[in-house]
Amino acid sequence: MSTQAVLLITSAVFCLGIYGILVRRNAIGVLLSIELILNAAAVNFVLFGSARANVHAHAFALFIIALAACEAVVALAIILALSRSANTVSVDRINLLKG
Amino acid sequence: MHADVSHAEAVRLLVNTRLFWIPLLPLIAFVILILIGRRLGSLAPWLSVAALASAAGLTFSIAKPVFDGVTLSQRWDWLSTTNPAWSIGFAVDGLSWLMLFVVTVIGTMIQLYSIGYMHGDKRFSRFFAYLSLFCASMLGLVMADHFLLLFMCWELVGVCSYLLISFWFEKPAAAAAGRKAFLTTRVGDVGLLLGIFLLYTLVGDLRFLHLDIIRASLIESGKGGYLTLISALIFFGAVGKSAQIPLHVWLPDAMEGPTSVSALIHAATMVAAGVYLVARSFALFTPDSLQIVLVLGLVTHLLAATVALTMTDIKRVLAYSTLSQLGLMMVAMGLEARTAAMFHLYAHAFFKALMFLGAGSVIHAAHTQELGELGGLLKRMPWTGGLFLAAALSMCGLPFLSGFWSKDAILLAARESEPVVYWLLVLGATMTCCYVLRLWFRCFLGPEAQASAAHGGHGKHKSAHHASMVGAPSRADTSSPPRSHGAPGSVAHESPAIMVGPMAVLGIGALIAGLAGSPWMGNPLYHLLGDHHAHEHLDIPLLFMTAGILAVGGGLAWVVGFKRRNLLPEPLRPIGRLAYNLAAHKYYFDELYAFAIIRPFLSLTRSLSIFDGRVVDGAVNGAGRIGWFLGQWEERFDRTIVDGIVNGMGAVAQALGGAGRRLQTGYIQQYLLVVIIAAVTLSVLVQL
Amino acid sequence: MGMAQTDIIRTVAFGLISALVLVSAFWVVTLTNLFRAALSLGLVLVGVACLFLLMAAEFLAFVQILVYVGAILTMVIFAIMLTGKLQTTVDAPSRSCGLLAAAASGALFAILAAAILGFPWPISNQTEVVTPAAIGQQMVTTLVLPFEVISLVFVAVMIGAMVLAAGRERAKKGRVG
Repeated sequence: MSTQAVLLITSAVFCLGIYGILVRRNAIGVLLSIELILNAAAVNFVLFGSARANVHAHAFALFIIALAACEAVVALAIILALSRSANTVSVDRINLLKG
Repeated sequence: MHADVSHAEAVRLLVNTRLFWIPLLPLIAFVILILIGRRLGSLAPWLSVAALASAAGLTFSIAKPVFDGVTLSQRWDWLSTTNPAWSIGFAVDGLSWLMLFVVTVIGTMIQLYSIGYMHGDKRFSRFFAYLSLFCASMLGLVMADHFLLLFMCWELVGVCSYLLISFWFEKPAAAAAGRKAFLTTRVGDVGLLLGIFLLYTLVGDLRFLHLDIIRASLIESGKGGYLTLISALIFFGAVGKSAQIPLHVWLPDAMEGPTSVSALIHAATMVAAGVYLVARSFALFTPDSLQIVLVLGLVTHLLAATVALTMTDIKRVLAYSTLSQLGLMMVAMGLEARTAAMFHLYAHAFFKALMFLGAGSVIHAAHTQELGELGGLLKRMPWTGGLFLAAALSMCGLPFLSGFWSKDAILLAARESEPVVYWLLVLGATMTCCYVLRLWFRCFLGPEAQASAAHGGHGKHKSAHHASMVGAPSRADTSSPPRSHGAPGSVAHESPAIMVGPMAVLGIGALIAGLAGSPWMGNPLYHLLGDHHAHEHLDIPLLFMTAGILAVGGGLAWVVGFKRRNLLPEPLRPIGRLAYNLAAHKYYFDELYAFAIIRPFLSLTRSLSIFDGRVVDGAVNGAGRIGWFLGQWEERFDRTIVDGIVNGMGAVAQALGGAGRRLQTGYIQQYLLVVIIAAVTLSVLVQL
Repeated sequence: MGMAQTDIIRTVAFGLISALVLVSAFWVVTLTNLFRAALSLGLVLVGVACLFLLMAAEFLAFVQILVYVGAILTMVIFAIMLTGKLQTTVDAPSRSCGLLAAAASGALFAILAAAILGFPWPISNQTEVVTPAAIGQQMVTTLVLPFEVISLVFVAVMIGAMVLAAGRERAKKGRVG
């Protein structure tokens, strides 16, 4: 379990998450990808925290989890509201920012 | 100036500065009247009169030294300070003084008369401005001591004549008459100018003071022929100005102007300028040129007299009479009787001016100029009639009146040198009496005619069965001021005092002015003019001859002119009719000129105008069109290329914007994609 | 067991868990059936928890399971159920889009990998473990501010979620609160 290996894994998960955000058309699918990213980041934190016995890193990972929860809540609330008003959950159709 | 100047010198200097003021006062009056004349209103003419009267006063004030034989002069260097030939100034000797006297005195009287005559005219003040300018230039003319200054004033006088003849320029006839006068005298002026040029190139000196010296030097150096040429050319100028044949055609037409103008300019002063010129440059005349002067003068005298016999317009009769008398003066000059000619000029000015003023008075009252419509005016206009008679008798040479003395002087000179001329002059004098008295009889005696404000008979009176002196077709344009006093057919009345007064003064002059040249008073005029050949006593044979002339002329006037009886025996009547018609048509001079000179000239100008229109204008328009084409091309270039570039840049920006706009899809995922790509690219770049 | 044996077990375990995580993550982003994707996410979360365990962070592992799998995943599945009818098209990316995204993320991974592999990571001989007590202690001393802020965030999120979720109904019925 070298540092490098873990980092590579987390980078891979991160990049998969990025891919997922770019590719997923369903809003919830995008949310899932975002969770992936967050988790990868948390693993990174814990890795370095454990390697140096740094409490703050662990605490940070905790915060990440907490915030991920909040964010998931808000995201889902938005998606629900959106689904009601726009009658869709496909991000393809949500392009009010179009210039 | 020297400190110790003598008394005589001082007097002379004091007197000499007055010379400037003589023409300057009327000139100032002219300037004032031109600028603010309208605002001065009824004060305007009095300004002009005052100026001229002051000039008259100045003339009298310098009389004494002039009469004593002194020549007053005032000179300044004009073109060159070293060459004395270019010093110009005024010089007053006896000859100039006489002319000054005539111009100022008669001019003042005529201006006074005009106040009444031109009353109510819409350009009242301008009339007096022009009159002042005329007087100023005439005074300058007679005082000039240098040919150039004389020529300048000569031209200025011509301009004033033009302005005044066509004063009522709304009438096309008046405008045409002004043009004719100006152009005809211009032809004469060319001669004068050529003479001056020739004199200058030969001698280089143009001052009157030195004319005797010039004459002597030219004769000595064998260039006597040039002298004849110069004097002939100068005389040509006089021919134009004094209306001798062949340049006489403008004077009768000049009657279109106001009557005071006719009186002043075309009777007394301007036309006399030619006579003055000949008198002034007399030293340059050779026997040959004097011969020309004599012949032309004689022809003019006789021809004009015959025409005057047939005219039915008052002013035309007087115009031809003036022509005739001017011819007489030229005859006198030709006979080398310079003093007699000037004497006649002086006397003629008085009675001719008076006759014109009287005619103006008649026209003013009766609104017509045609003899056919006048008659019996003596009862209604006693003053005018009486004064007119005085002038007429003076002109006819009633013994001991002015005209008698002056005419006799000429006849004497003729009798002593050329008997043929003498008898011709007798004939001319008879004709003079005849037409003048005819005029007076027809106008003032006889039944009263109905006055009408319109034109007179247009040749309807031309009777085919008797060659009496009834109206021939004459130009019937009235030269009365174009406004009406009362309805047509109104009764004639005597003129106001402002018109009659000056006439009376002139009448006195017409009666007694001639005494200045008579032996009874010792011939002061002759002494004034430096002539010592005056006759000591009255010439009795000539006195009888004159009386006879008067009787014959008067009788003919009464019988043929007034009672209209044809005295010719039957077989001679056709000839008489022919002669009459010839004279009545003024010997067809105008028609001849129109045909031979004016028409070819006008057709030449027309063809030149066509040339100008087609060729010159075509070239100019062509150049313009080239410019237009160039402009078209440039516009096209500008539109397509230049605008294309500008628009293209805009289009490029728009395209770029449009392309760039597509980045903003509104899809967040795409934004993220861009971010990722950017991050990757940057990392790569940083690594590198 | 000896140290080497522990290491071998650890390494094998790590390998297995990594494989699980990677595969599940791959499924999360590629499965068209969203439900299955969500379940794959669950697997990922579990795998991450195991990784935490391997890194001697037990407390975090538990918290992970509790919060992430227990609450978040449940919520996501609820949402999927609620909006399932609205998914009109198959959630598969278009070919060009997918390739581009794959290329971009691949490039990103390459960069990261190059950075990771090129960096001389220090080897740690750390034997101390981070205890929950230590975390807790930090929470109320040094990290008390983020702790409290998190509380606020929770409150805000709850209120916001309630407002968002109930928005239309409130507008329709005009009820307050």
